Amino acid sequence: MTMPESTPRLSTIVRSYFADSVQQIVSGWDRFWFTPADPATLSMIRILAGMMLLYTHFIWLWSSADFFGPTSWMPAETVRLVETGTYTWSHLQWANSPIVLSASHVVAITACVALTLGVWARPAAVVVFLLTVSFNHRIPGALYGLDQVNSFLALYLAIGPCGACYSLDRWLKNRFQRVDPIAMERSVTANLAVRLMQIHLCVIYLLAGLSKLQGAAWWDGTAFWGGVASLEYQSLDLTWLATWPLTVNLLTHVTVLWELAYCVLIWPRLTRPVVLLLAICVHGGIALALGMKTFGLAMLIANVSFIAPAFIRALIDRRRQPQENAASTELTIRKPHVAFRPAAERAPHRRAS
Amino acid sequence: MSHERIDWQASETTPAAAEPATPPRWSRVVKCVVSVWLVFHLFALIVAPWSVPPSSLLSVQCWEVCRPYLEVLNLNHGYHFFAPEPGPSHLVRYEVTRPDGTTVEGIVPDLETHRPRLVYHRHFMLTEYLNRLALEADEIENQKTLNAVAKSFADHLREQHNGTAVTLHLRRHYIPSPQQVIDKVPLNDPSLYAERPLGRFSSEMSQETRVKRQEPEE
Repeated sequence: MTMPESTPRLSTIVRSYFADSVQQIVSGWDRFWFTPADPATLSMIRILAGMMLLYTHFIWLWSSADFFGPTSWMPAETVRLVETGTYTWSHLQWANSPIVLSASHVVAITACVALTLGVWARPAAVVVFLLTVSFNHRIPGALYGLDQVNSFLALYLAIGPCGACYSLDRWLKNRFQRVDPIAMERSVTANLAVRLMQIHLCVIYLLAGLSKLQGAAWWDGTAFWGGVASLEYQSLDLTWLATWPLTVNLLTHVTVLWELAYCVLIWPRLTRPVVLLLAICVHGGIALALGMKTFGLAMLIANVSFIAPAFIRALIDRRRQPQENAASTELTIRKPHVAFRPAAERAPHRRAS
Repeated sequence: MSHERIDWQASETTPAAAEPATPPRWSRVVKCVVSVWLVFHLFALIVAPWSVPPSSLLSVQCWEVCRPYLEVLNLNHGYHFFAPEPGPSHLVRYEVTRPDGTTVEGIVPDLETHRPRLVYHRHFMLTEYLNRLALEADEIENQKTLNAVAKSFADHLREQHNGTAVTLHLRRHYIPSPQQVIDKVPLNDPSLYAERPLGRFSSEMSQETRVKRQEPEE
């Protein structure tokens, strides 16, 4: 007895399932990482991260003798001993003369200014990344979350065309090459850089949340109190929460749940605004109450990677519309014959499907 | 009234009138090479915090593979913020003896002298780092590292205050319970502090008192 032709074999169904799955994974991976993207989000991150990196390097300069000088808290020879057997590197460990140190500060600050303003933005990002890592490795004991975020933002900015929008480079290009001011130069690396920031953030929050699950205080709801009542962190007195135990419990649980759920709920369109709003609350709270304004802001800057380029364009480019409209009017006056061209010629160009 | 549909996927774009020619796409070979790097990069990013103790043999061995990459790029981080739970803070109390016999006392970090806040926080991280070394100083190698770092701290303070000798103490500041705060115990109440000596360091000899591993005295 033969089976009806319309009924596929079990092996065919299984093979088809795996073939479809592999195809979907490959096409999904390709779409996620290699779709050309508008660099507006990356450019916005460049400005914000550039300012944060500038401030960080300015503070390194401000207290240079304390952290990098020959009688600093950890002189180069002490750091070499501590870091024996590791792969960390710093040019300041091997060339720690005052001239090299001063030159490094000048180059770092100049590169941060260039990055923020968008002058040779991509080479500037490479220089900023290398010097940020080098300074960090020179004084490993004085680092915290801010330095971790600074490093990875600088790294990913160097990958993408971070100066493509809102930069002096762009402005000069518009001025001398007559490029449309809001023309989008979509690129794969712009997408790649932003995607790396997004995934990196998801890893940070997931592991931060998972590590908290080891501690009893995050389960019994008292961990939030630990931050509030630490005199060394405190920059805003919230010890009145001692009489509000349920509020402390709620804030503790929301923090852990938000960190754990971030890597899932940040992707759907529906939940993304809620997750970003909670990010503002959590990092804003850390900045205001725990005295870590720089770290709180750096994390919020990294969260900008989840803001759609369309939103940033709507926020910034629409403000420039009147000027651009004026420019287009000028163009019309200079070339009145444009309006008299045949309709077929005036029709927008359509791509072949 | 027509609605322009906005694509909220963060790195995708909206259709725009000023859109230039189709952006260049990458060849299959380039995509494959970049994909291999992406897989390794993402694996390394996860391995770094996954291998922070308490950790499995598997995670530690994975970390050994990724370690050069993570350390060279400064990506070797645990991201254990306030984990496993917020604990006591660690400070350094010092006494610097000057050539005329007078002494200068102080605490690191100090909100008054370490300004702006980022400078204060960096000093705070240094004292927390010293505490971590002190906790790990059960092996001879770790003891050497602790001694070297403590001596560097002492040298810095001696230079800063023009002293001849420096005595260091590691000070632990416990967090008061909500009930203590309700009972009007201030956050800097002396009962919340514990100290252990780190040693006396003079300009003549590198260290008069060796740092010993011990828990702070209550």
